[in-house]
Amino acid sequence: MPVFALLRPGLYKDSLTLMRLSETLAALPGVRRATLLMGTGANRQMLLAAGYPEQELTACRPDDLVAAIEVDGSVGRETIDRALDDALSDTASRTQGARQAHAPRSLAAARSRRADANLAMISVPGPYAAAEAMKALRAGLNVFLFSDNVPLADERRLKRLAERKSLLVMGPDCGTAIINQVPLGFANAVRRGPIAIVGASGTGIQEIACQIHRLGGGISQAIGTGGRDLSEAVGGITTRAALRLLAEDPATSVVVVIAKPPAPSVAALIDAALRELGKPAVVLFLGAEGGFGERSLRRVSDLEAAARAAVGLAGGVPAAVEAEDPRVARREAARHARGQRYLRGLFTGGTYALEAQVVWRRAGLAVHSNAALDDGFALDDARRSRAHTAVDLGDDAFTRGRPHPMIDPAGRIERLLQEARDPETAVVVLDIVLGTGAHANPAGALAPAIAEAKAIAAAAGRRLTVIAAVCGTENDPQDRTRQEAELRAVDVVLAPGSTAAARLAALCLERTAEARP
Amino acid sequence: MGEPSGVVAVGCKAWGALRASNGQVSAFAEVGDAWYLEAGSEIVWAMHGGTLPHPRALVIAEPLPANWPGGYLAPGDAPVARPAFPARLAGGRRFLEARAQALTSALAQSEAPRGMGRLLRGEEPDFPLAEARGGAAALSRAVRAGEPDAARKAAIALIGLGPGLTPAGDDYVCGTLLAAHLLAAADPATNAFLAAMRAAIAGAAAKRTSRISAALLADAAEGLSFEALHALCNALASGDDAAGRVAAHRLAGIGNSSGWDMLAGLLGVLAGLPGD
Repeated sequence: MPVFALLRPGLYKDSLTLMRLSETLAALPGVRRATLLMGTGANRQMLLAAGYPEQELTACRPDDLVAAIEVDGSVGRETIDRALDDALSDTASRTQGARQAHAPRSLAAARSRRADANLAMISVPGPYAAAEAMKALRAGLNVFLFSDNVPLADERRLKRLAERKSLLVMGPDCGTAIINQVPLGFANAVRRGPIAIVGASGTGIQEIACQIHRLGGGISQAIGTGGRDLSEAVGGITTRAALRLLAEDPATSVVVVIAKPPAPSVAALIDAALRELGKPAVVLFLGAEGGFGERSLRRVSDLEAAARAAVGLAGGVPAAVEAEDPRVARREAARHARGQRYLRGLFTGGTYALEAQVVWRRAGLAVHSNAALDDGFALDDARRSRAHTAVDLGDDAFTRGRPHPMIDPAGRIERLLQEARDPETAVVVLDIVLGTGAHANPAGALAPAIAEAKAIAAAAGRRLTVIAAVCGTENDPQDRTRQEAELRAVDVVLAPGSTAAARLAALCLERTAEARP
Repeated sequence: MGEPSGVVAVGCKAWGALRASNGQVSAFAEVGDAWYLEAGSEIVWAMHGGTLPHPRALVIAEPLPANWPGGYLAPGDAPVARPAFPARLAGGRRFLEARAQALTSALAQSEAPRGMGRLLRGEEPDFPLAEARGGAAALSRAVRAGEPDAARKAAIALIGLGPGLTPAGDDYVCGTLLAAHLLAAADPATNAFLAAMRAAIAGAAAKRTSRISAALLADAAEGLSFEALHALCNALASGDDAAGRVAAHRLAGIGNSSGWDMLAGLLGVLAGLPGD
């Protein structure tokens, strides 16, 4: 693997900037790894031992910045050199801007700058998050609580206080929101419109918002509630508060609610709140059966149906979106070897893992998961697939001490190659999530690994089918069209959404079974 | 080119350096929110706003002018801060180690360590630090045992190693030096060990790492470091677990992984590294 060491003599950057520069360079096509460090003797020795060229390191001194770059052969030294200069100059202008703004260091300091602010976004480690959120609520601020690992008792305490003060606590572990067109956390650049989404599921909200966008509809608000909001202990406080706010929101004419099935006592409270909403609503409790419901209250069972129903209720005619092509399933199935019989979903979003189970169960398949719909199908070891498997790689078991797979693809790449080596794997399904907060080029980062996985299977006389759905829009920084092109280039079958991807995977398997003598 | 306005607060090391240079400084780097300045042969850093993070820092009332090459920057009547450090430990060494072990367990369960901090969970740090695991454990063991030769050898191998403006290995060594000072407060008989380390670190750092990092290492050898690291040492010494968690959290927020690297160095000595 070619490696370069690029020197920038006497250049000092703080550690956070160095890390951001490393990430920017590592996201470039063809770059496998980028590390920025000072040119000390110990680092020089370490880089020499790792195979970096001696002539490039001879001149480095402890006060020089060294960019150690590993590439795949498709990119040259000059390109990387230019990219490093661009990234450094971008950092310099950002630093200047940041200095002018000078970030406040406490909630009180931030409040003193913006007395009109009405929302605090909190992202600190779990044990400290509740105290910060409490301060924000006492100061009369709504709270977007990105932090996870907040104890349930603290969540209940925070939400009860918010309820008394007519404020909203979004979270804990709230991944996404769009409030008055301002994206918070992971969010996509979707069209403005009359549909609001309230959800316990971050990726579920993102997927529905993007599908609504593709169908020609638009979003007024997206409110995350945190995964435990509909539990017996919390009682759906945030979901109900959000519905009350949306009832009064003139920009909203239709509301979508997405969550896992609530506790029975909470289901009754949510039903009552939906009836008091006074606006048409779509309800998706993933894992529960859907149905027609009433004219103004549609109950659906997957993300695609939720988006379509919402656009319909908003008075729009869903735009024609290319559906998955069953001929693709036939073509793929015909190329599978004997023994290739299982589906493997490797998802960065928990909702996608749940939805795949719903769709595959509907197709008559028993599916194992680390986020199993039924206890009997829980994986003993999340790191190993068993028969048909839908795995949530964003689960704590995978992210403790490592970045989330939406940010760092390394964990999913490992797992993809593991599945490729399994002779029973027929189809791998992937979600590619775009938007603020996500990886700068997720498809580009995965593409070499997908090609490698297919090559591993091909060397063993097998055809590995890879199906992907991109959650994002053409306005996202990563650009959906560009991401899809990267995937197509490595022979990935693209589906128009997560539901279609799961359906297409199941169809490949049916066709495989049909193709057997 | 305008002159900077007044100094609001100054750390004891920065105060000494400015006094020795009669307030004459030259700017040599702007890094993030800070300006690094040379005052005589010493390095100090100036920040606009916030609280003093380190004895080598000073807080100024207004940002320095763009591309300011240097000039006059006197501390005036600004209050001089010297971070507190326990002079002696009433509870003794065992008490200190027990508090450090409790904190290590709590951090391992609730936080996602970066850099050398992953050692606190018994995990291997990412590239390019994987090779440092054995050396870090050797340093922690040697400081715990009060073996100056082994400690000096292990510390020198770590200095200058790893990513960051202050290489991760340097930050780890800083943490171990503060731990050595705490142990000396518990047992004055280890003062000789500390003196041997101080001389060895100051000499090696000047040759093996960046100027900024060498200055911070020399301070740590004297028992002076980031305010959050001092707050953590005080909390451990007094047995205030809640204050210890808050200070550890603040420390972990320094740099990209510098805070975690120092935390691992400190707790690696006081509590031992898991699996070692």
